[in-house]
Amino acid sequence: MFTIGGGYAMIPVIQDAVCHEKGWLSDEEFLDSISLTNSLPGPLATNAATFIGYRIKGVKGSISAVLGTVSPSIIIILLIAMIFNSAMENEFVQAFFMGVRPAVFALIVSAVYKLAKSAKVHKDMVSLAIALISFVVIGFLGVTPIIVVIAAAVLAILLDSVKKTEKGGTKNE
Amino acid sequence: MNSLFLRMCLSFIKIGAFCFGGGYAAVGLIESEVVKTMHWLAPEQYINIIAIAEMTPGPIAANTATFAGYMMLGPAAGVFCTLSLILIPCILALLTAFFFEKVKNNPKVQVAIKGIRPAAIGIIAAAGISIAKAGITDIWSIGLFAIAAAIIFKFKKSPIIALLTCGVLGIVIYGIIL
Repeated sequence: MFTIGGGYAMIPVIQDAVCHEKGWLSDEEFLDSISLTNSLPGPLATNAATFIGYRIKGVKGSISAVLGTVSPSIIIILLIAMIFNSAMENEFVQAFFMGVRPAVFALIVSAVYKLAKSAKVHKDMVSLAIALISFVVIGFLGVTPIIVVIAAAVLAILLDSVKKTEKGGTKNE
Repeated sequence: MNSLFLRMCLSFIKIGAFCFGGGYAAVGLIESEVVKTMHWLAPEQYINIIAIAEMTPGPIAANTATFAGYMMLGPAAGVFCTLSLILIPCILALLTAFFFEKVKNNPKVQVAIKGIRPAAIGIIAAAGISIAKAGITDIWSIGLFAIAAAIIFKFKKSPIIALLTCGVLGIVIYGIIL
């Protein structure tokens, strides 16, 4: 509920509730579940809730944990959305959002920068190439992102197996 | 009407299955599907949605889906778009929990993720193009962008502070001066 700022802001809050307050999981189990669900698609918070819910109380636990995670934000957003359209008729609200738009672009830039840093694209030519090619084909050539995701995954697996056979070859010499 | 509702749910299921790399990857995928491909929302509407999704508690991907669904077809669509978005990820998380020991150290999965992560960066950056087009419209907006960037990068403050500051400046600039 009090997790403004997205998934990562939620981790310590969940950890505190699940491990310390309720004693449902150990800290280590919790971190394991975060690192695993982190590599799945989708919001980290709901993935972690599914995973942790399952470990505590099976499928039922998963469902209740996920619904518990998303329902407050769904309710809040629906309430905001209901008044949004009528609020937008006010010229000062319009002016507020005119001012917010350039800041949203800054948020996108910062999201790209943060991900680039954590994926260490500046140190790895292959990652850098994948990022740049994805950007160009989606942004300028109109390719669907989904195809790009699949292509990137296949490419990474192929490159990895090529690397492995090369390593295997030098060992045999 | 009903078929649109269904197509929307299918779109969000598809988006959910492929949004690797955190909330903003979902923001990028939703932009590509809902704004660019389907034309269900205008870029200006979508940019407002992102701002509110960021300023509201909860995962930004879920917030964006709820709001986008609401703007397209009302409250029920808001709920169903969100549930559609998390459907496949939740099934995968459940399977991961189920086969915990087996997946834990699967190298193939790790390798694939390493390739997908930079692609996610490209997806978000590509969404940035249309967001820049809708957001940077005059000389004032360039200034506001610079201020927001400074708040986030230089002063390391939360994005919400950047949004609120620029919103208040927006009231001054667009509501009072112009």
